[in-house]
Amino acid sequence: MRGKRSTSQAQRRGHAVFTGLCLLAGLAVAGALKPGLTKAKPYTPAFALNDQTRRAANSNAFAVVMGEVRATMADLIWVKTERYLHRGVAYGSHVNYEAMARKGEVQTNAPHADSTHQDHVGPPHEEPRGHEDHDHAEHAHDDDEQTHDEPDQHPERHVHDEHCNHGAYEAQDGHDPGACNHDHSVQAPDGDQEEGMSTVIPEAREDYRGFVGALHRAVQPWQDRDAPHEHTSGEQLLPWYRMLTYSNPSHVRGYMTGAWWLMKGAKNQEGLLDEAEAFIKEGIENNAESFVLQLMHGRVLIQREAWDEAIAACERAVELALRVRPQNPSPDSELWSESDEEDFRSALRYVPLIQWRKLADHDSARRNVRRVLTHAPNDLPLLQMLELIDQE
Amino acid sequence: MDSAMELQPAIGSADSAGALRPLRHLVRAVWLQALRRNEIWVVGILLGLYVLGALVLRIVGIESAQTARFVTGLGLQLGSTLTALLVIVMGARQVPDEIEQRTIYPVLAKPVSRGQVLLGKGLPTWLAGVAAMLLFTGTTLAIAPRLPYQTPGPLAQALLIKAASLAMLTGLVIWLSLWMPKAVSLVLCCALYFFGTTSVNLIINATGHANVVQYLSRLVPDFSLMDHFQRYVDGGGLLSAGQAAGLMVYGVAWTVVFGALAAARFRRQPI
Repeated sequence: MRGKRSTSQAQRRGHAVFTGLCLLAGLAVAGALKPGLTKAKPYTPAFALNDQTRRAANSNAFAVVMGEVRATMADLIWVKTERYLHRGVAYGSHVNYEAMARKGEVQTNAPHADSTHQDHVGPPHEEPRGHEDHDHAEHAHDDDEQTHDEPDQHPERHVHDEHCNHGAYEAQDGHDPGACNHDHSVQAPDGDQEEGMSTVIPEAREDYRGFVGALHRAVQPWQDRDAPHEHTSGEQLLPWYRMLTYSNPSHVRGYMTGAWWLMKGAKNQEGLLDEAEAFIKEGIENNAESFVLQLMHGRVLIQREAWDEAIAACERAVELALRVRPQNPSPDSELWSESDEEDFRSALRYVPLIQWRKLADHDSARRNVRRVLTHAPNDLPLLQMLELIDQE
Repeated sequence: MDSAMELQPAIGSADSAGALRPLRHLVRAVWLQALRRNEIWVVGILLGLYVLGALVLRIVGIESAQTARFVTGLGLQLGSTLTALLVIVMGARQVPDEIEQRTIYPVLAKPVSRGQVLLGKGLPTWLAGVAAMLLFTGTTLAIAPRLPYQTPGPLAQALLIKAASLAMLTGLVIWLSLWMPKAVSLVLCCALYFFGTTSVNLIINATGHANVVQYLSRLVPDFSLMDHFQRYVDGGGLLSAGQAAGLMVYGVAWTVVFGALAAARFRRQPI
């Protein structure tokens, strides 16, 4: 009897030891593996996920049926930011997020709106997007300069964005050589470019629900599709970008757009530029391979006038971009979107531009223009820059 | 019922190969239970709805690569999610139902250890999940057009890793179901499976990447690491051998942890 009891006790002890060992070993292995395995999550798809791709995927019958069921928390927050941007009114999807994330432009894909408008600029835009002949890198100008008049030599007007640094590319006569000629004097109030955009809650004449529809329109933020389309200040969106990137640290667009709004707010509020830099650095830490985040970091540093650091960030952006850029990128490429190419070229141009205009280091600038021209041999702004440096 | 009656023939003819025989019968009992209850049919109905929708789309015509990719992605993600739900729902009621209906007594009266009983519950739950996942995957592949960059290698990796993830999930749900009421364990498992990673990200970031929190977060099973179907859909290429092996080991390690915890709990559980 005593023998049986001691056998049973020994068995129990054995079980306990075995269980303990399993627990410790399992937790140790799982805990040790996790950080390394997190790196297995990101991958480079065999196509470029641009707005066109997204629209195509989101407009088919399946997507419509599934609706927001497909959305992750980060995506829901992203949708939320759009609602905020439109003062709570839920419009059908129409914002060009590609442009918004990369440049902070609030462009619309609306059928009646051929506009690209930021909250500070809203002139009609006669070319849709991807005007390669324009250099976005070299004519960034400060928002406080935006009302100066420039001759509108071309019919095309481009929407200047945060990296539209005219100061950095202005020739000594104060004119922007090789820059696009856009009319900064034209200031339209926000939003009247997106009239006709349908809302998620339908209008009375299209709503079969009668009284229920009227109630819906009364209790939810709603406005007539023909009413002026308004955008709120992006600063209100910042907490949402914070939550978005907290919940999904791989949301590159969230980091870019958030950093852009912070940069913009920094012109009126001290300390925001520090926050923009911290935010974009966090994005880079979480998405080390993203060249657009490096480029955005470069832009933040340019606004800081930290020229050497900005050059380093842009060079890093070029280095990362070259890892994924196809040998001969074409506009139809599924691997490399037009926006990717535009950002890549911006990164290429920033380095010699800063060396030339800000550091007055003509030799380095010349050498760098020649070097980067090997990646974009026909890049007009770079060729013009070389010509101007040589002239000087 | 059920396990007790299913065990009857096995016990009657106990022989030297008996160690595995009760397990086999327990597995069969759970499988029969799953078929007799509704979950499998719910999964079947949802699969049917997906098939119907995808077939309509196929007939109408899938014109672009994006749509083809979306249909494939949807099928695989739906399969992945539903199989996880199936495992959670099945696993959460295996032992509590037996205890509640008192059918656990005749089972334990037979010459089977409690560990065998648990294994007999967990194994078919996991197998049902894997079978459902294979069914969904097969159906999706049969319906959706395949794009040139969607190669079998990443899909095979995704399936294997998902199977490991379902094993983790089975262990987790059975362990939790031994501690708490069925509904609570079910909700907790769903929360951990679907929102675990997001919550951990939020906590880590909100605490400013504090070291302690980062270390503690490693002790939370991360199911999002184990879902690689989208990689196949997007032509993301193969995981390296090291990464794939690491993920499998991660799945096995958590399964061992939950299995050990469940066994320890069940061994001492007063019934």
